[in-house]
Amino acid sequence: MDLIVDAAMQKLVDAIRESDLAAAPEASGWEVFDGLGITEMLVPTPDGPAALGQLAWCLVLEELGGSCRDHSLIRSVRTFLDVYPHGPQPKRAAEAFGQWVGAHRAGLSPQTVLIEHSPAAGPRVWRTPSSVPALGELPDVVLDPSAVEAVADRQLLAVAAYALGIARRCLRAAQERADGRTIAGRRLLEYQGTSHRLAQCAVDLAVARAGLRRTATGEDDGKPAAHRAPAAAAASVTAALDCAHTAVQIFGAAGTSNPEIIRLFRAAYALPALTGAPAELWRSAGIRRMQNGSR
Amino acid sequence: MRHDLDALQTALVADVDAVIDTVGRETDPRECFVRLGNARLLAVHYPVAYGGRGLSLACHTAVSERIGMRGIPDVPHLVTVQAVGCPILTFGTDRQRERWLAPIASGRLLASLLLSESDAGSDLTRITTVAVPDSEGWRLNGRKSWSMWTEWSGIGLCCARTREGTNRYDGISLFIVDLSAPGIAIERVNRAGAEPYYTVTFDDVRLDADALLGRLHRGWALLPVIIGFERGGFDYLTRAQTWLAAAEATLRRLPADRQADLAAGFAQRAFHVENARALSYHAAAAADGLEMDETTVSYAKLASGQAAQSVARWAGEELLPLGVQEDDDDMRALLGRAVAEAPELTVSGGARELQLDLISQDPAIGWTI
Repeated sequence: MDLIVDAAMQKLVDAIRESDLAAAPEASGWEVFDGLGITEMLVPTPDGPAALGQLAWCLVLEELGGSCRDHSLIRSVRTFLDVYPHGPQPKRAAEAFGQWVGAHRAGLSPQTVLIEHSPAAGPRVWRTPSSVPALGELPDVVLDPSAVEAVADRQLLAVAAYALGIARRCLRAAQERADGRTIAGRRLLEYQGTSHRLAQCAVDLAVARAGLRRTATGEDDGKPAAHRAPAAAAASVTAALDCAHTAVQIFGAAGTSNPEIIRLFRAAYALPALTGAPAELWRSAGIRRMQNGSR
Repeated sequence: MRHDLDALQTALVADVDAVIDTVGRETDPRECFVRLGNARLLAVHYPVAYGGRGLSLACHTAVSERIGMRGIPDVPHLVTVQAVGCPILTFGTDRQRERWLAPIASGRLLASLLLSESDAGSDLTRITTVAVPDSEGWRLNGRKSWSMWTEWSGIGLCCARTREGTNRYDGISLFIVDLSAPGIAIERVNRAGAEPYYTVTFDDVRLDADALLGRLHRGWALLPVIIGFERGGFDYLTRAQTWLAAAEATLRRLPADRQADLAAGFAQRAFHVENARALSYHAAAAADGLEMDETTVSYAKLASGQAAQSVARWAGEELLPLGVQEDDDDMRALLGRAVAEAPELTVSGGARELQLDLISQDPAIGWTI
């Protein structure tokens, strides 16, 4: 067991960071990803749905979270790739997705999503909105309950990864502030009330990241996330919220007026809307574990 | 990245099980150590010449964890093989390695770490134990506190002042002390719900010249490495996992509505334990040979201690009042011991505050793992 990111994954992370730096501030996560020129890799092939595994996907999302990029489109791309191979016409879906990837630069807004639960047809039905070019005519996909749960778990992991990126960014900003500010002749970082709060956040973040990455690696090895998905999401979202509060505290009055800190704080508080409250996630994780054991 | 043990680690764990399965539950743990040593399982990361198998620190990690999970006291093993044996392997002379490492790896020699003193606590620059040169080596005087399993130990790794020093870090040296030497008194300090501490008094104890480990007066530079060898957090993790399993068994016997009430708290502790364990394995896997990164180890140690502590507190504060049947004395006793032992887990081997200091100074905070 280890948490060492291999060379290929690290290369991907480094590339995402470079693309992120080169992208406009308002660019979406998908545009940052697209900036690498590797989106064609995502087009499903007869042999498999996607070139990027769950761990790689989580590493990408963590990087995008670090700069608070809009992640609605890129997450929906992933969900599309997760769901449509199980649909009635996977080959047609792959072709349509390939067309979409090739043509998406023509005016798609970052808020576009490719696939969503279809409330009208019940929670087991996934549908591409008719407004999405090239994809809107695809047939609906009906998943059995266990497959729906697995898709939902993988979505939770993606949001959790994004949360870790926010947490990491908050922590870095707070540490830099504490290192650069002087209070009564000493650096703020030299006061244990400040440094220990930062360090405890870092430990909690490390535990959350270990849980998320182990769960994602397990998915790649064929071990379903199961109760570990809500647990990883709860730990990651809590880490983001704690780190955001720590950043505000360490910035002091500036923490409630500095645009960067405000943006991070808001981004952290947007997370429970996507995952559910951490308390509910822990409860879900506990009940699922009690039902199914620790598998 | 691996989410679980690799094939070699899994095979070693099976080897440990096979050896422990041959001994009865009532067998003295020291006999278990000897049998594990005979199978070259106690120090698999030592070179073959010194009784090991020449494997990685990560392999040793899996073995250590398994020994603890099978109910064999893991602290004497960790302190002997890691905190004392690894410094001898790393900083010792050929003669010291030949003299001490094979007996350690064989399980026939246990060791204690004799660093702290009652007035020094975690600040080892304040030690008052002194070693004065004489014609044949050294004479040692002073008193060491808070060591563990010292009644079982044949040797101790002791730090002492060898000169006043140009600064408070200078003038500290390390010695390998034969604990059967005349002038040594070992006193037991009983504790509630946990293994006793020992106080070791040196009254003009003679050490031969070969007792010095590393450079004279320069022992301070070795101390972080020595303590790092001890701080993987695995002794805490075996407690955490044992207590968590007991808590889960108790929880599963409750009615469904009670289980649902406590499920969130249980899941939180289970996640914490499982992933603190991952951090500890990561610290070992990322080591450069035997040398673990000090900051990474601090993350692992702190997460492991806090995880175990959290399980114990949750069991004591939420589960025990509700969940343990009156007739389940074993479970009540196990979780009761956990409650008593838990506070120590962020104190011993380097207090929580020291770990937090180290982590907060890390330039890569939030990125280390």
